[in-house]
Amino acid sequence: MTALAARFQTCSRAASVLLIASGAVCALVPASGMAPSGALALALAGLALGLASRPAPGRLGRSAATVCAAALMGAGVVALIPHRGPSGAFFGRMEPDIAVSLILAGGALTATAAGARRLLLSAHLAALAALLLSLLALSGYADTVKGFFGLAAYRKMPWPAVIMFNLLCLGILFARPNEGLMKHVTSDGAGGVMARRLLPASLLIPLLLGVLALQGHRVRVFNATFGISLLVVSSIVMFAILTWLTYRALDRSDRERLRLAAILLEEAERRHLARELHDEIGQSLTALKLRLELLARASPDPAPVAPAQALCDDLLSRVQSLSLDLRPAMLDDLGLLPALLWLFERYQGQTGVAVHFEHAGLDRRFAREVETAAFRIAQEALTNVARHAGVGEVSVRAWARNGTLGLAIEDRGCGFVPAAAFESGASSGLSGMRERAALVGGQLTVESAPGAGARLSAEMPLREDR
Amino acid sequence: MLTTIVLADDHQVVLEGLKALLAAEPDFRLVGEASDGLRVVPLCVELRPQVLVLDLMMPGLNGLEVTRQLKQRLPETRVVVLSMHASEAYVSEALRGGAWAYVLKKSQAKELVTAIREVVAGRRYLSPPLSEQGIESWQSKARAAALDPFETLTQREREVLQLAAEGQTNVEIGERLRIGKRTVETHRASLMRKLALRSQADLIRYALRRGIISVE
Repeated sequence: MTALAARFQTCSRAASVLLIASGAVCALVPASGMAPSGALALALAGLALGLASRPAPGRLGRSAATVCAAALMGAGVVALIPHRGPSGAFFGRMEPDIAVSLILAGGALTATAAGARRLLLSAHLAALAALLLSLLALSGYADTVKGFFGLAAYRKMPWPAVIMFNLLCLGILFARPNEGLMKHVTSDGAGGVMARRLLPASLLIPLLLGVLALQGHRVRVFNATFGISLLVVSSIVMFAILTWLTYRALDRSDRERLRLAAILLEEAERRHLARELHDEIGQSLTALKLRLELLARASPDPAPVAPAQALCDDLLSRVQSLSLDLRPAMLDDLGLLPALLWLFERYQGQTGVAVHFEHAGLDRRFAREVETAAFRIAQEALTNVARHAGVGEVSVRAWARNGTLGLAIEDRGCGFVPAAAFESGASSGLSGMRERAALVGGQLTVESAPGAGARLSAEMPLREDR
Repeated sequence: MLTTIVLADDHQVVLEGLKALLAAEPDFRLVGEASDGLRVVPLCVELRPQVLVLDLMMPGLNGLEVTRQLKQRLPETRVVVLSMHASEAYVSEALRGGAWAYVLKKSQAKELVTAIREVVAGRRYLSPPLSEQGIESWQSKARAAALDPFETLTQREREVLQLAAEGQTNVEIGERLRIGKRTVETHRASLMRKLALRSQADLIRYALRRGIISVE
C-alpha cells in the first residue's frame, strides 16, 4: 500500500473515532436535535467503519462490522415504511432523505466491511450518492428548506446529523483507498494528481458558495436572483482558476517526466552504441589486425604492411576511447567502484586535477539505475570542478550505508552561488545531476558560496539490490 | 613437447585469426574451440588442455565466471585471458578468478604466443603496459577506507549538529540558520541516522568527543 493510501486509511479511522464519540454525545445531549436512536445508529456506523478500515481486518472484526452495517441499512428500510416504524422520544421520526441516505451508506458500508472487492465500485458510488444527499441537506441548512422531498411536514435534518453523515460517507470512501472508485483518486499517475486536486474542490467550492449565497439572501443583503447570479459567476471564476492551477501542475509534471524519459533514453542509446562499438567494430578491427600481422609475417618484405597496421591500431584505440566516453563497459560488467576508479584515473590524466577518493561499502553491486546515476553525477561534478573551480585537487567520498548510497564531491575552489548556477541551466549541469538523482528517488544537495569552495552531495535510496 | 590449447572467443572473425596465428607455431596443437561461454567448461573438462585462451566477455557465461569455474574443476589447465579491456579493474578481476595471463587484444599478436609459453613454464604474464605493480596499486585503491561518518554530513547538517549539541531547540536553530523548523527536523533526523545516534544525549556525547563543542 502506498503512503498516500495509508494516509487515506488513517483518515478513515479518525472519522470512525469521531463518529463513535459524537454519536455517543449526541445520544445523551437532547440539544443536538437528534433522536437518541439516530445518534446511536451513527455511532454504530462509526464502529463498523473503524473495524472495516483497518489495514488487515480479522475475521471476527469483519463479521461484526458487516452485521453493524447491515443493521444500519435495515433501519433505513424500516424508516421508509410510513408510520410503521417504532416511534416515541427515543426513536423520533426519520425523514425520508435520511432514510435513503442511511440505506445508501449502510449498503456501501456493508460491502466495504464484508471486503467484497467486486462490489466496491458500487459501494463507492452509493457512498458518493449518500454524501451528495447529505451535502444537499447541509447547503440547505442555511435556509428554510422544506426537505429534499418537498414534504414540509418533516423536520429538516439536524445539523450534527448532517455533519456526522458527511463524515461517515467520506470515511467509507477512504476505508479501502486502493479499490473501487478510490483507486483512481490514489493512483500515482497524472490522472490521480488531477483527481486529488479537482475532486475536493469541485465538491466543496459550490457548497460553500451556495451556503454563502443562501445566507446573503436570508439576511437580505441581496435577493434570490442576485444570489443565483453571484453563485454562477463565482463558480465560473473558481473553477477557471482551479483548472488553470491543475493545468500548470500537470504540465510541470509532464515536462519533468519527458526530461527524465529523455535522460533514460539517452543512457540506453549510449549503452547500446558503446557496446556496438566495443564488441562488434572493435572485434572486427582486432581480427583485421591479426590478419595484417600474419600477412606481414608471411611476406618477404613486411614494410608495405606496416602503415596499414598502424592505421588499424589507431582506429582500434579510437573506437575503444569513443566507447568508453559514451559509457564505460566496466559500469555494467564490474560495477560502480571499478568504474569510478577508472573515471578518476582518466580525469586526473586529462585535467591534471588530483582526485582524493575514500569509499566504504562499495565493493558490491547496486541496481543498475543507481550505479548509473552515481557514476554520471560524479562525472558531471568532476567536470564542473575542472572547468570552474580553479583548483588542483578535489576530494570524492562514496559510501553505501543504512540503505543509502551517498556520494560527496568537495573542492576548495572559487565557489559559486548555487541558486544562480541552477538557473544557468545546462551550462553547469546541476539540473541534470538533480534529475539523475531524482530518477532513482534520491536527492542532490549543493552547498557553495563565492570564495568558499563547493560541496556537492547526492544520496540515493537502495531499494532492491542486485 | 606439444602444448595443447583450447580457444574460446565468441567472435568468429577473431577466432579464425587466432587459429591462423597459433597454427604458425609448430609446438602448439589446437585441440578444441568454443564460441559460447557455457560450452567452454564442459569442453575443457573433456579435453583437458594445458592452456585455455579465453575471451573475457562472452555470451552465455562470461570469461570471468569461466575462469572461476575452471580453477575449481580443472586447476591444471592454465587460463590465458584475451581482452579488449585495458583497465586494471578487469585484469584484477581476472587474476583474482584464477587467470595466469592477461593479454590485450590490441597488443601485438606474438604476445599471445609469448603468454602461452610463459604460463606453460609456470609464470604469470601481463601484456604491457599492464604490470604487477599497476594491478597492486589499483587493488589498494579499490580497498575500502575507514570512511569517517562525519564526512558524509552536508555542511548544513554539520551546522545543525553543532547548534543542537549546544542545546538549542529546532525553532532556535531554524531562526539562527534562517530555515524552517521542519527543515531543521529533517536535517537533524538525517544526521542522527548517518552518525547512528539515537538520542540527544548521544548527540552531545558525539559532539564532545569530536571537539565540536567543549565543556566550559
